[in-house]
Amino acid sequence: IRNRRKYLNRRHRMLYSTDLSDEEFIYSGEKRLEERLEDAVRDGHTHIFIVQACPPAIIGDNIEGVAEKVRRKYPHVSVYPVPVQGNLTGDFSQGIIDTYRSISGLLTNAGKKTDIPSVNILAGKMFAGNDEKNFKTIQALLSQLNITVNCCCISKTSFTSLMRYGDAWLNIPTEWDASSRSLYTILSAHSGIPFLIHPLPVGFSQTARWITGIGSFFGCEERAREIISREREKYLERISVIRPHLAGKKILVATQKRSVDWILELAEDLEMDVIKVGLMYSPSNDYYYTCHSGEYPVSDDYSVAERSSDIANLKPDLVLYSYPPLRPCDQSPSHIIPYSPDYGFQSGALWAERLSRVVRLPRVEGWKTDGGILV
Amino acid sequence: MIPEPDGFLGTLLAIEGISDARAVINGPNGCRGHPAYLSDNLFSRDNSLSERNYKDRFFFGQSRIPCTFLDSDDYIYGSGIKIREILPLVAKKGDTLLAIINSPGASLIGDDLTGFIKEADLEDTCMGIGQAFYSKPFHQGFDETIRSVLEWLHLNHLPKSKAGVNLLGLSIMHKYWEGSLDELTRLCELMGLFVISAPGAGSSVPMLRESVTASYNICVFPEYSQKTADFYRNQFGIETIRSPSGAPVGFDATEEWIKTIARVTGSDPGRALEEIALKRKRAYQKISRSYLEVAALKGSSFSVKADASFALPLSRWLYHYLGMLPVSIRVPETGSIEEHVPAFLPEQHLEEILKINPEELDHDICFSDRLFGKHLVLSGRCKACIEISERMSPETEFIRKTYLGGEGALYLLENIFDCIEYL
Repeated sequence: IRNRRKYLNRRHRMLYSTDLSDEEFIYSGEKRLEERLEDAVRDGHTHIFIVQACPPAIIGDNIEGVAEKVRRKYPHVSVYPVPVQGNLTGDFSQGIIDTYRSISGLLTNAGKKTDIPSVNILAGKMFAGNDEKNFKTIQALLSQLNITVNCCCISKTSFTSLMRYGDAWLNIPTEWDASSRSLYTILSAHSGIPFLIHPLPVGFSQTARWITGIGSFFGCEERAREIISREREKYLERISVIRPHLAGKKILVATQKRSVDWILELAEDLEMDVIKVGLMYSPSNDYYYTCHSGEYPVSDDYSVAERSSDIANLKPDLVLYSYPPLRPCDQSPSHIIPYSPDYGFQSGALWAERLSRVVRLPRVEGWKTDGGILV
Repeated sequence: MIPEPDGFLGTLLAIEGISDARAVINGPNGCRGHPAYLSDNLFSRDNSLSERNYKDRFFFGQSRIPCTFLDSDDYIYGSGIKIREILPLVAKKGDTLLAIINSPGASLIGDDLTGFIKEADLEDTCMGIGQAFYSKPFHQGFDETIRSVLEWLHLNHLPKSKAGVNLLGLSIMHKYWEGSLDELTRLCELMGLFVISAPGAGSSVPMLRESVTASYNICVFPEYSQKTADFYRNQFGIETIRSPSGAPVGFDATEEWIKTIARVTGSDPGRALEEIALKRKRAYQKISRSYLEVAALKGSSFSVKADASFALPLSRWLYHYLGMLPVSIRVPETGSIEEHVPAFLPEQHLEEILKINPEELDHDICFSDRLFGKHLVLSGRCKACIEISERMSPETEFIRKTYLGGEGALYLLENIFDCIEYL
């Protein structure tokens, strides 16, 4: 970051740059780093992370050495180098994992269990538009079991909350994808807090299983059963309103390799016919897992061409896709599978309300035919 | 009670929409403030650096729509003294046309406006409007007033200009009326036509006099121009071209609007349609890149509260073009909704949505005036509002925008895509 002097109100500065020049690249930027750390301490910051860019990593600056020097000089200040070496260690997900690793020493089991049962929620989807809403849903579900959220690690959280990490009774991962599994490996080595091996739940069936698992861990199974029973009534009422619009409709699911069990279970409740699940290419290291193996035809390495062919031949009433969207020649109502679905008992039914509208819409949206070539 | 802009305001803004005309209210001061504010903001002709009319009696510190500020004595003894005083004072401002308009209360007094005008020797400049369509919709007051003005001007029969057209039914109350006038004028010019006048949307009295040379009138918003169109046909034999798709809102209705005009006038629609095709392609490039955003819109629900000739082409376009579902359409009670895009609602089995009150329905986006939209958003009934009509405080507009024609379709898309974060 250049022009750092333009940050006039130093108290509100959250990002400092060493502003390295050619000279530092030749003779080391450690002195500049130390100066910036001193600036940050002077501005009142007590928890400072050092994120190294590529050039200082290449010239071999001793970041940990500088951090240690500042720690000794200011014992009340914590300094955490994040060993990412610029972009050398990997992409966005790897950066998150590296950050977890750099703070994992803090997240120990040194604390004592809270009096009230509590959980840590791990690896929140900080860029998802429904992150806040989903957190409230989970918080509300847990509060019905008299369980509190101890720490969200790391998503819109405070350092104080992170320092409480070890006080929780149970770790709950947001997802159970590659990043979450890496996190599990890192955190398990530093803390004895058990993990619930179940992603945060989407739709009725998943939420029922999830809350049963939570209830079982905390010894409040009966309360969990009551909640499920109450929510089931609401769910069935919603489904009964939507079912007449969707029952008997044929669905083709074309998804990147992620679990779509919540959709399959929803389809069953709506008496819809899942004619195929096509697993398409995904650039991330996702994998497909299901509790309904053998119940539906699954096609691996599913291509866009195969999807078009299936739309033409199988004539689904609705195509649910993750990426890419249908082409203009694909004459079928379609809707995207949300990358980050809403959580909770009713989320699937609420999504199905949208589907009941989609099947009434034109098969191909008008804008798709304005591209020139109809492919 | 009519909470919407009514026929009285329609009358006032029809006069104020003529660039060299001025409306004068014969009524209590309470009738003046909001219309004067609206007129000055919607069609500014003065600026705050000049002294304007701030100090003048009857103007009350505002530049437009002076008022006789009737009080209880005037209702008993008549408003003659104040009318005699206001007319010469306002006439000195130099407007080509003055219209003194009775407020609802003043119309009950029974003062002879024509007599006062004659007495002031302003018969060539000033017209009196004794009854101003109170309790009628805004568009009716506008339409009837424009017709009355044209009648009052005693227009001459002049030779026709083959490529000359008038744009009817656009008012200064329409959102982004100046940008709309620019866009529609440009589309006409691409067809080899030129716009002589747009009565009530910035044209001057001389332009209205010249309007009779037009070969055709082109209707923008039918509700606002029915009586005006009848006048031109009956008095001057000028037919008005109406697109079966309603106002040119969205690409489809705009193309239909262009084709209808070309078919009737015999002009070449090629260049205008090419222009729309380019706009379509631009939209395609943006939308096809934003697959997540457009997926959020697909299947989303929306309500529209607007004139039928705007609401129905908008709804039809959003339904077919983006896959959005209309769940409520509210239009002023004019009894003419079937005239606008008659096939759309029955073919989609959506007739029932005309009866649904958006205030009683959870949905995603509301297209309406700002006040109603905010009401729906704040009451939790919808997630986002797109302001498509004026009602309260016009925004300070620097770039001329429009919701009509090809540019208008793009601007609507821009506004719709801005709502996605709230869905």
